[in-house]
Amino acid sequence: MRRLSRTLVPLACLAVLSGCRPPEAPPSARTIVLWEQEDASVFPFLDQVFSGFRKLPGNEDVRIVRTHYHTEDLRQQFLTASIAGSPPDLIMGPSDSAGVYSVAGFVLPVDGLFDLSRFNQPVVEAISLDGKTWGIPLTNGNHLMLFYNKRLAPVPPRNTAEFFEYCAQKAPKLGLQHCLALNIAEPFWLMPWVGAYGGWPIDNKTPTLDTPAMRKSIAFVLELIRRKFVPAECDYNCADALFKEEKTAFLINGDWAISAYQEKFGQDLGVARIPMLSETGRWPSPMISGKYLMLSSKLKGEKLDLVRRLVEFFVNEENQVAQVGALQRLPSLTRAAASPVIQQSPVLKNSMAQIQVGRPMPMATEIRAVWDAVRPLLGRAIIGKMTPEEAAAQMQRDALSKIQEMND
Amino acid sequence: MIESLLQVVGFVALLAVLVVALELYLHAHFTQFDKRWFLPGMALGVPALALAGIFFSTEGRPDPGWTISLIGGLCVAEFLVALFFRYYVRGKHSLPIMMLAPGLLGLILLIVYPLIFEVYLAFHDLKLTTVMAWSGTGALPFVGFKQFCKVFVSSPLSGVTFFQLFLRTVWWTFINVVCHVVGGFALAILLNNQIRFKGIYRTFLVIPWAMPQVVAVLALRGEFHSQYGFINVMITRLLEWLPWLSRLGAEPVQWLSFHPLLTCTLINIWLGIPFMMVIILGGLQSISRHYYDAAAIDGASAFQQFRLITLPLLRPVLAPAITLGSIWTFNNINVIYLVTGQAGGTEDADILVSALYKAAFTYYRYSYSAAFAIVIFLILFTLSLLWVRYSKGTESAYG
Repeated sequence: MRRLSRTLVPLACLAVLSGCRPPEAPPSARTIVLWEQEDASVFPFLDQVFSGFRKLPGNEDVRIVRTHYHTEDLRQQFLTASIAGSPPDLIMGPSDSAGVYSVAGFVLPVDGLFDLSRFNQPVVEAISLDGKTWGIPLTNGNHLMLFYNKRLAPVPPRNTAEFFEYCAQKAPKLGLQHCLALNIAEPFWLMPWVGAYGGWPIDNKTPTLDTPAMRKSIAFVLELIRRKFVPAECDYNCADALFKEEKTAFLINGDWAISAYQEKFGQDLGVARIPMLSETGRWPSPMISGKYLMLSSKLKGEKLDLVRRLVEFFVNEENQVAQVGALQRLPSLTRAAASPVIQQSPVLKNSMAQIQVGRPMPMATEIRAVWDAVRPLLGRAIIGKMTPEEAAAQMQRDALSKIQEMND
Repeated sequence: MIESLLQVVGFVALLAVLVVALELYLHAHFTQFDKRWFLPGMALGVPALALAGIFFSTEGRPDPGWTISLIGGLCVAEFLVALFFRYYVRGKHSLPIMMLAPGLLGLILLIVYPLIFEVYLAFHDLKLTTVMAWSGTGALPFVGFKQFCKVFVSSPLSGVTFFQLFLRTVWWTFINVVCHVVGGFALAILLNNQIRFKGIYRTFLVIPWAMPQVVAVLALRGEFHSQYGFINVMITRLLEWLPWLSRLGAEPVQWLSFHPLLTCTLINIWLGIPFMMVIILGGLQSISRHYYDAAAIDGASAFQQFRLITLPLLRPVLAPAITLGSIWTFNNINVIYLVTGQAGGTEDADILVSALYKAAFTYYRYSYSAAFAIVIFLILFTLSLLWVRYSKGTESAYG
């Protein structure tokens, strides 16, 4: 009897477990996992949108799990999770990593899934590669612009001649050691000037760094440092702190920081285009992209449909306008851009004016090699170990060699 | 917050269930091995339970091909395991094996498997453009020793070759470890005396080591800023107080731009001294006073006591501490990464591991990075072996 029971009990357990039928809608199919790299101030808005989505009929049982990472961590974690076969359903971030995700095949092209004609075209272009679009734009911008403290400089300079005049004459009288806070360590902050000198760091997938525009841009930054208009050895946090502590009148930073500066300065905060380069008569052209939602290539069937509905809800006109009010970020939807909220806000209006002279951020994976070639050599030029000419030539060689190594 | 806490508790509970299942599995093999049903029962029962688990986890929709091959493989593997337990183990050493099994399984999963996978990667070609094909088919092109050759001829950095990087890393390790030992020794000897408020001093001295490294490094990085950092502010004040120093060429330094490696070294020395101090202090306190008393009676000077008593008796403590310190410093990416900029920064402060990090996570050269990591491992292994032999660190001080 005992022997019989020893045989029968495991078999009975097996039969019971094997007979388990899947529920009509498995819980994982109603859970959307989203990874983002946003600032903490954005979290309430995101949670508000998700809560709104869950209130729609039929969505009551949908669970949205939001996980935060720093920008670089998000890229690495998403790649690792995708290789391991368990990526999140959605990632929210800038377009510069989308090239990597698309080449590796970890995100879905969205051309057939969404009507992309509703969005501002430059911001769609910034996430297009090889004829396909790899994400849905949430915001328009992610661009650099000039912030100024109206208590120190009531009117922004229109061109670099006016800017130099202010820095040389008015700033010292106000007791300012420097007049502009600039993150000189990052090549992203150099690119508006490259554009103003008529260049651009990459042409399709080929680096274009050894150019007169790059050489002149480096020389321009060196001149700013030499004349002590900008502090040497200043990274993002340093520039941010100098401006907030009113140790500089101007700052070049991105639209992501608008709400933080508005909170700090209130009505004394001014936003303007980066001053026109008097030498060429051209406006500096910051890179334009935005924040995007990218869909994991693992999505299919019902889950894909659910995620698609969430994305559609996220970018509907109501949420896009709400985003402007809550985050001071420009919408990606063309109709929302005409909202009175933008037209009545001088900060947002000027931010939009800056976008008009910007250029879409390149999405090709090769841009990574460009950033990493420019960064150390820009640093070497700044400390005088290389001339701008030597640095630009070396940048080109390094970028080409890094691209070859990536593809080899 | 509560949800995160529940996730952690759930994970711990899952681990506990797995450990219990493993122990039950082993218990069955140790106690039932001589029963007639043992071989067929195990060879069929374990795969059947696995099949039930697969059905449950895939919500009743398992991949047929994958499931059949897995269950077939499990049948054969479990039959062989049962044979081993029936005819070789025969219930012997059941307690130690059952006690060690969870730890051993953890080691296999967390160390042995990644190591084997790393070797596999190093001989294949996984990079950004082959990732998708690999995750779809599981197959990668075999490239033999090509990745290892690339490690020596194609550095991840633009202006620094592998051998320059290697020499820089050796230099960085040497300077850091020497300063850690000398500084740690000096402080440990001071603290080993009968002084007032010893506990307070010890607490303050341990702070850099005890606080999270990210916080400590970033805080100190700020102090090296050319204009607003504490160090240059002090230099400026000093020059105002003693203006003749300026005439001798003394001036504030752009630490992060001109001397990034020196800055990293100074920060790492500050971070590493407390660990050595604690280890050496422990060693000093274990040396009996009687040796010193006897030496004093024989007329030995303080230096002779240090050379002939303290140093030899500290060797068993010091040799492993130096070995560990060298390995940690050689592989210390944190300080370099945090000081020179997380997005890449300057190459002037890169050492082997930070270059490896760039190859893997900036350029997605996974196979190349695996080969690079194996080369670093072999270098460290050889250097450690030489050091242990030379220092006779594994021998007893009283032997």
